[in-house]
Amino acid sequence: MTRFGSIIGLEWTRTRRDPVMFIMLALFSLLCAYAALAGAHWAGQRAEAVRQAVAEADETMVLRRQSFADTVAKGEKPNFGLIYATALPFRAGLPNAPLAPMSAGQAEGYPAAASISPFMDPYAIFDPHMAGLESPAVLSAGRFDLAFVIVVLLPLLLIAATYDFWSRDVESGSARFQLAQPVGPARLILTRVALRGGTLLIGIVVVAISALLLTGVRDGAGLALFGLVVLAYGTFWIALVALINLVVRTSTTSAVAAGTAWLAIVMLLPAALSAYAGHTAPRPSSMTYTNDVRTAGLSVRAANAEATHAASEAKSGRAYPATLWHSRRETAQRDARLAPVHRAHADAQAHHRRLAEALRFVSPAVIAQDALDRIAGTDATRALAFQTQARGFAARVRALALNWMDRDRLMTLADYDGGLPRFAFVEPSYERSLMWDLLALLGFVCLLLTLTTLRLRRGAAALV
Amino acid sequence: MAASLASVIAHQQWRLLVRDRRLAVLGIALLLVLITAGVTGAARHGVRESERRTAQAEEAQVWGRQGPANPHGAAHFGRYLFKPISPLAAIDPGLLPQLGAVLKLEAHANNPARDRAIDGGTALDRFAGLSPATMLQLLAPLLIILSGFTAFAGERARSLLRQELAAGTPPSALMAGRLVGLSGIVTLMILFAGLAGVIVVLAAGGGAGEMTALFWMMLGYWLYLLAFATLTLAASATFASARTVLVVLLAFWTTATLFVPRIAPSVAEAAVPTLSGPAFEAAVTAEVREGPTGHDPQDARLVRLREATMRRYGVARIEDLPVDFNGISLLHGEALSTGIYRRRFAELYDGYDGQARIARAFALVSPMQAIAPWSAALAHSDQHAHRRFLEGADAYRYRLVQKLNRDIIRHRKNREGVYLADVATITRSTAYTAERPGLREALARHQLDLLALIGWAVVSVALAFAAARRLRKGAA
Repeated sequence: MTRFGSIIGLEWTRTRRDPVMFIMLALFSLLCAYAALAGAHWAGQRAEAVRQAVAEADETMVLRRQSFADTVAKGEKPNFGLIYATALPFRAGLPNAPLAPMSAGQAEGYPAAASISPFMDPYAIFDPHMAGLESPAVLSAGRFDLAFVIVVLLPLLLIAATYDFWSRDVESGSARFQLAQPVGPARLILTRVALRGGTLLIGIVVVAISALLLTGVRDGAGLALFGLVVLAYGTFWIALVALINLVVRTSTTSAVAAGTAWLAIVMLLPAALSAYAGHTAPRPSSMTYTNDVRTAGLSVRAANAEATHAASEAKSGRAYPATLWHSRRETAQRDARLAPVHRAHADAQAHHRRLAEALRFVSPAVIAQDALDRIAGTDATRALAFQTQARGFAARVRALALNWMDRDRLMTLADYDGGLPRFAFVEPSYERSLMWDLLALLGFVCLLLTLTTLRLRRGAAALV
Repeated sequence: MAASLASVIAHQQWRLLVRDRRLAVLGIALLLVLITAGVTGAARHGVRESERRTAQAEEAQVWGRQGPANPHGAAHFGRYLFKPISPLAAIDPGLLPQLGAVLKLEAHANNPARDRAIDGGTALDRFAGLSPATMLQLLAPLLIILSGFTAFAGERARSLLRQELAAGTPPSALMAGRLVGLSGIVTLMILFAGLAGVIVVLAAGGGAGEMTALFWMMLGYWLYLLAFATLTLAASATFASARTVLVVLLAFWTTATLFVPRIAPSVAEAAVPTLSGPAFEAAVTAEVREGPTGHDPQDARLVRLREATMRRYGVARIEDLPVDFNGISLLHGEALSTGIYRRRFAELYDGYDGQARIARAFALVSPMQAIAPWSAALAHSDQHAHRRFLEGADAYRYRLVQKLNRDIIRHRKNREGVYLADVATITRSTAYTAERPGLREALARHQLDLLALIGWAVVSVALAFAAARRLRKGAA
């Protein structure tokens, strides 16, 4: 066996015999299992809440259809609520992505259902559902999901397993002996850390994927991407610990330095970035927005006061009454008046979001969180895509109602039996953003490896 | 003798800690971050409160500008309340980012507050924000661990501990001296934090009440950090090497400040599940439709009410009533739906309280489970203060809507069509006054948290002295 082979063999034996490695892996397996089950429970509850919100409109529609059929069977004319397309209730729901149990992400900060009727303000369709009742203590602590385990705890595990892989040998004096062998220091040290950290990291990836499989996730591509992100993020931490080991002389200092790096990257830096984003591109005021929307609505109502009164007295001579024709005109005026208010608010929100998304590239922890959220489908982009699609659906429903009004077309039983549009969410593509996240993580790894190589070039004397 | 020895050791420990440049740098860094977080928090609070007052005044103007309006239409147009924030929330925002700040008050519905700070975020928002409370809860314990983990283990490695014991110094005096020294650092840290807190509270517009609450808050933090300090000394006296001490203490810190605070609410929610928004809405709607018993449909109730009203006024036809029956129907409907909403919301909030009780039980393994609710309650940034705001707002909503309904009752609809009134004049005397839980109430509600913190401090001191008794064995 060559000298290099002997060193590899020795490291492998040390890794295999190190009880810490097995304790870490066992602990991680337990955490992963708990996180996956907790994530699956959360995803199940969310799916049920969306189903319930959508089912409510379906049940209303079934009752209306029944009432319509009963009235017609009695030879009577159904009332206005049953025959006017303008009175129909619709719902749009955001389904879970296949890997939703992996990360709650931003899902709880965005609406997952919309309540739509043809004359409704398209920006108010998300108001009635699903917000504000979640347990604030749970939201504040954050969900104990796999993303948390990977982003926050995985680095701690890797640090615990590798923080002294070289500094301990420096302390004991065996580092000098190893460097005296005819093996390049770079090859020696990098192979040793790769073997030790890599073994644990691969074990972690296998355990994390198994935990997801356990909860019923069967999306092969999603799982592969998840594994890739965990590998890239874990490699970053192994590379960081390797660099720290080459810079410091004692294992205690190495532990403190690695712990401080973890604190900075996982906690302080994201918090500071978040504060910076809030200061540089503040979120728009919801209070001012509320007042602006009300003022705009009130001005349209005031301008139409007489017309409203006149419409209530007038006869239209068509299938739809004068009050509905008036509502149609007032709705168009209201939307035109509200459009700049909504746009200004949405633009300010988008500005803040764009900055926050760009700042994620400063911290590998935020990059990893973003990547995992995208794979889980609980990211802001997917939630916003749902909002856009739901507003598009609301526009389609309104167009249908207006078209029927123009044609004096009233609802029929056939319309109730399948002639009405239904919302279907079209999954947006996340591969491009994910690719940037992966590239950024790999960029950090390359940076650390370059710094490690520069350190190694200073010669063996600088390493002991 | 032992007391004077302890005082000498305390003095020596204090000098060692003060002279340690690394700790000084870390301490100053922590202090600077704490002050920055406090000052930016106070500035944000000032801007937000000023904006809130302006927005609330503007909202009142919008309500007043309605002109002649149908009272029931106005009740649907509704009013908005923008939640006032306590000045102490600049120190501990607690659950505020997860609680809505804008509340719509309208007929037939008791809405939850909307526009939470966590809404519409990105991956960056998944990470905790920086506030003085975060510093004291997360980072200050870490600084204490780094300050004290070598107190005994380091001296043992340099064989100084053996010399100290051989000179006849009782182990308890060694522990007492180091404990006083490290407690001095804790006290200094709390004094600085308290001073920064006073500045923050004054800048955020707080008064004497807030200062008293700040005192109690800082007392809690002192106990919390004292527990970490004594546990650090206990570990340092127990384990042979500084490396083991550090690993054990960092494992405890991670468990106490990261694992447990995240696992506890999730376990609590599993034990006391929270209804989803649609499930809550469906339950309320079904109860309003079918009556609280589930066998009293809305139509049947309306028929009974109509008959009872006609009997009361001695008329045979609804048209002959001297009052508007629609108003009576609305008045009764509002009373019924409000009762249902209030009961359902009380059940929901009681569920949150149940979750908080379960989460508090985790204070047995992590002092953070006691300090976090203690601090948030004193800062009025917890769920209970929010509940008080929502219940006060609903009481106002009910008075407002019923006033409008009574006006409809008094003005019988005539043939001219919809009844229009000056709703601003009608509701002028109905005002909302914000009410926060008092300091005594907060202290009474959270006395268990304070007891848990005292318990942690006492037990950790006992552990430290128990570990000191084994010092001779360890040093030999």
